[in-house]
Amino acid sequence: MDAGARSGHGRQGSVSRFARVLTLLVMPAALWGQARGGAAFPHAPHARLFLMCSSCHAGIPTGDAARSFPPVALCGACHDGTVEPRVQWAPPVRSGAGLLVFSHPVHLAKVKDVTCESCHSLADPNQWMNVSHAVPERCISCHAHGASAHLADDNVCATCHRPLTSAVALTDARVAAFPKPPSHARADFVNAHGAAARAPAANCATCHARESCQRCHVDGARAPTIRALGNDARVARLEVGRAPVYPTPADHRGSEFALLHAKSARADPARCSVCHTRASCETCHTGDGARDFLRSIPDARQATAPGVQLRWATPATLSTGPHNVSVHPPGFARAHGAMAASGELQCASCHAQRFCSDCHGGERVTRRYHPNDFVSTHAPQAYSRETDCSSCHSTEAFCRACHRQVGLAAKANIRSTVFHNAQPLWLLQHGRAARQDLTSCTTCHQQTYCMQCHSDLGSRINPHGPGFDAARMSSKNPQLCLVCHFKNPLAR
Amino acid sequence: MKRLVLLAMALPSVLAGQGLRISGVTTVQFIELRPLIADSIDETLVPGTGESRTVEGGVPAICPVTSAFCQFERSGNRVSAAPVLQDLTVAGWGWVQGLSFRGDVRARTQLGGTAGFLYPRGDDHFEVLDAYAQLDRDAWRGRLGRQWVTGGLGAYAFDGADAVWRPNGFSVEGWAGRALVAGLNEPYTSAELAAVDNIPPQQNGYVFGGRARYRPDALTAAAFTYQRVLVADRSGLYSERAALDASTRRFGAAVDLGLVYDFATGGWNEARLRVGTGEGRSLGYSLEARHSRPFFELWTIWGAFSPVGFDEVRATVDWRPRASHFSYSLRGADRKYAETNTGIDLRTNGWRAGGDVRWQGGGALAASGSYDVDIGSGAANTDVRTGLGWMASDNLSFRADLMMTQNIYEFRIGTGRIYGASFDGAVRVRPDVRLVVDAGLYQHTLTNGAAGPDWTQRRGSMRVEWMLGRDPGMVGKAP
Repeated sequence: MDAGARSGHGRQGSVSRFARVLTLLVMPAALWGQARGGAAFPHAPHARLFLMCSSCHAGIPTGDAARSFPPVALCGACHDGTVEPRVQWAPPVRSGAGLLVFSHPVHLAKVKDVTCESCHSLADPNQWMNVSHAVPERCISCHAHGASAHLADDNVCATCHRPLTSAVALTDARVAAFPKPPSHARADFVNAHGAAARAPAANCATCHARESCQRCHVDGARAPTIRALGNDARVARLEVGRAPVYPTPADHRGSEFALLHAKSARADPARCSVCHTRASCETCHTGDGARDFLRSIPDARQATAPGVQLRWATPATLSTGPHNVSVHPPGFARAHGAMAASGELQCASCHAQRFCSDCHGGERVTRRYHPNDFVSTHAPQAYSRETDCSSCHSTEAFCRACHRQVGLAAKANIRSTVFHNAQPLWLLQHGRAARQDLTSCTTCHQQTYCMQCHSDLGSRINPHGPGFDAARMSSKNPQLCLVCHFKNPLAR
Repeated sequence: MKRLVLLAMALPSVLAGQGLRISGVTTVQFIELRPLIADSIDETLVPGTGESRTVEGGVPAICPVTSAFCQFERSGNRVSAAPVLQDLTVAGWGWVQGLSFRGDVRARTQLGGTAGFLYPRGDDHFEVLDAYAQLDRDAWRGRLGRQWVTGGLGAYAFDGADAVWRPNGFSVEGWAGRALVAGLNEPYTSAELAAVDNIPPQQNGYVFGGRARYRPDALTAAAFTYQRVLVADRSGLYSERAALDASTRRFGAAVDLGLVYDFATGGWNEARLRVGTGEGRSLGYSLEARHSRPFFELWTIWGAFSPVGFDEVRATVDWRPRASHFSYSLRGADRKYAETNTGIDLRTNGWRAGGDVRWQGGGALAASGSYDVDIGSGAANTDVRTGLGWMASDNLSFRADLMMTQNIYEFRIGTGRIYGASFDGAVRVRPDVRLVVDAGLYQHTLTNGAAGPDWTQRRGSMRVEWMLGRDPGMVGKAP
């Protein structure tokens, strides 16, 4: 190929093809070095002065570092203060490996028909010394790995780059200025990046170190993928003050997740450990039922990140107010008895015993079970034992005390009380009602009220039904009979 | 001396390894109502003859032939109460592996309100709900102090000891101590019980109980519980019952069985079999058969009055379409009482039906509506509710509700309608401090001359939940 004809500079006869190749090949390294050596050399203004790249960068093709950049004295030949103003320029100083794994001699040996301009020329190739860094798109236009773009997911960074932890020459500022691949801006990136990171051709190490992951990952000290990255002080400094990000995974969003997560957690505790410390679990699992499992989750001392901070819940706040976690299905409060009593549902995994006694203790503090206006609607539920009042309340002490306060409890004298809703024959009718709903009766009537008729002290009307087993009851508590009977009716 | 010095040197590090958590709930309530009071009127001003008449408005009255006055009841002046409850929970752990202590105490008082009108237990100023030490190891656990035992027989508090031995899949538990009245959490001879019954128990009781549980896998479990409460002088029992509970979740179905047997009356207090779908299904159902008969302890005479039970069938359907913001529930039940042998014609059955619709918006808004009707022996009503909630953030939420209840029939209180509107709000002021408030306005209209307390009122409460200390396993600052 006639480089001179192709470039159109009009100096074809004076610049050899070999020199042009060498000159253009060394240009990237020269330009790269400006970042560390001071102000970049302004090539374009010197276009009429230098006819060959190799004039200044002779050592690039051979890897001779000493001859890769011109001596400072060469500038002084013109910039002596009289012909041209003095300038301060120094060749770049390499303090270690950079991020780019690139060898001009190797490329020169492997690649044919390539000039310095092939990689370093800017948009207008007709302008001499209009050069700059080699942009990555030029690299992937030759390399046959099929990447669609420099920062595309299908690129293989290691083709050209070494791991960041090895690129010791980069400053904090350079690391901070790394371009962000478009994939990282996708809404699902955080949730989906794990699989990509574990892939054999993962690209993470090019830009990231352990500290990048340990900003969010609780298991940063355990996870093999993270451990493989290595530590980097620059990344550590850059991560200081950055808040962790914990988006909610799709399978966590279902209303039943809180109830059903145990199975998936036990199957893959490592997945939980990515975002959660043991404290997350113990927000709900205050009991000992999940203790063995929780040991597999890092505690705060082992964690490399704060982890998801679940709502700070106390036994009192766990299920109160509009923030309820929908752990149990609808109707659970009424139907949980057998599940809890049998032990099938391990209540103690999440609830302290106080959680039970908050309701079953008989006095409502949190509005967990009854709505605010339950008092106004409770009668049918009490009569039908829809909600078994006595499982939480002492009907004598709780119900009767309230009914007395509001004037509902029966007075001592049968004749002085208002009857049941304008039913004048109620006294005759009450037997069936009493046997069907005796618990409700006791919320207003004391024992002596009924004994006015149903005892030896009163009218001696027998309250016992046909199936009453007096002997059985007497055997359990002989004193009971003597409450109503002057003497034990079973005594011979 | 040397030992003391060594102990003093070691104490800071020992204490640093311990955990202490103190949490509290402060609740202030405000309620109003017009209680039912007795009144009388000159017999000559009441139309009609005989003992049973009605005064103005159709309110029933009794006009004894021996008196010149008719007696009736009406709503009195408006009264109010403002009870305050302070709950305090202290939990400590860490000295020895598995050793912890726990205490829950409650203080009550009344801030204001009408003199003489007292919220239930408002004069019981201090209560220890539980206070026990626990030593918990892998295979066993022991507790000593005031504690609760919960199971198929309900929840019982007692002062005593409890021990559990739990090898793999199996556990045996036993407990004994001074019994406390269920639902009251006070000894049998307490003033609280004596205040509401003129034949209160004369002696305390001692509880003895045991439970065996078998849990072959995570999806199946069964438990048998036996408990008796002995009168202190051992002259008899206050109660003797046993319960069998079993539950399984296999093949996508959930089956629960609960049985409670009363040895004193020789009958079943509860027998319940429920079959339904497992959790997490889009379409769920349950079918339940239940027999229920009330249970009375033997310090009362009520058990000798031969109470009868009822048999009930119940069904529920819950539908939560996966891709929908809506979910729906339907429920219904029908029950029939056993023969009372009283020869009196009263309703011997009952039924209920209801349904609700819930809507969960994009996360911030939620709405719900429900309708229920409950017709039965003793009382009947219909109830309509709707509400809208807004969860502004994890730390701030509101909810507003409207309700209407119609008391169709009731033995004692009568018929009427209540319309109400209420508001709930919660704000988390700090990670470990939360404020919850609710307020409601209710309008009660009694109909058909019913004599009942007027429930027209303002009602509200404020609750502050707070915590000091850290949960086990948490170090560093609170989130």
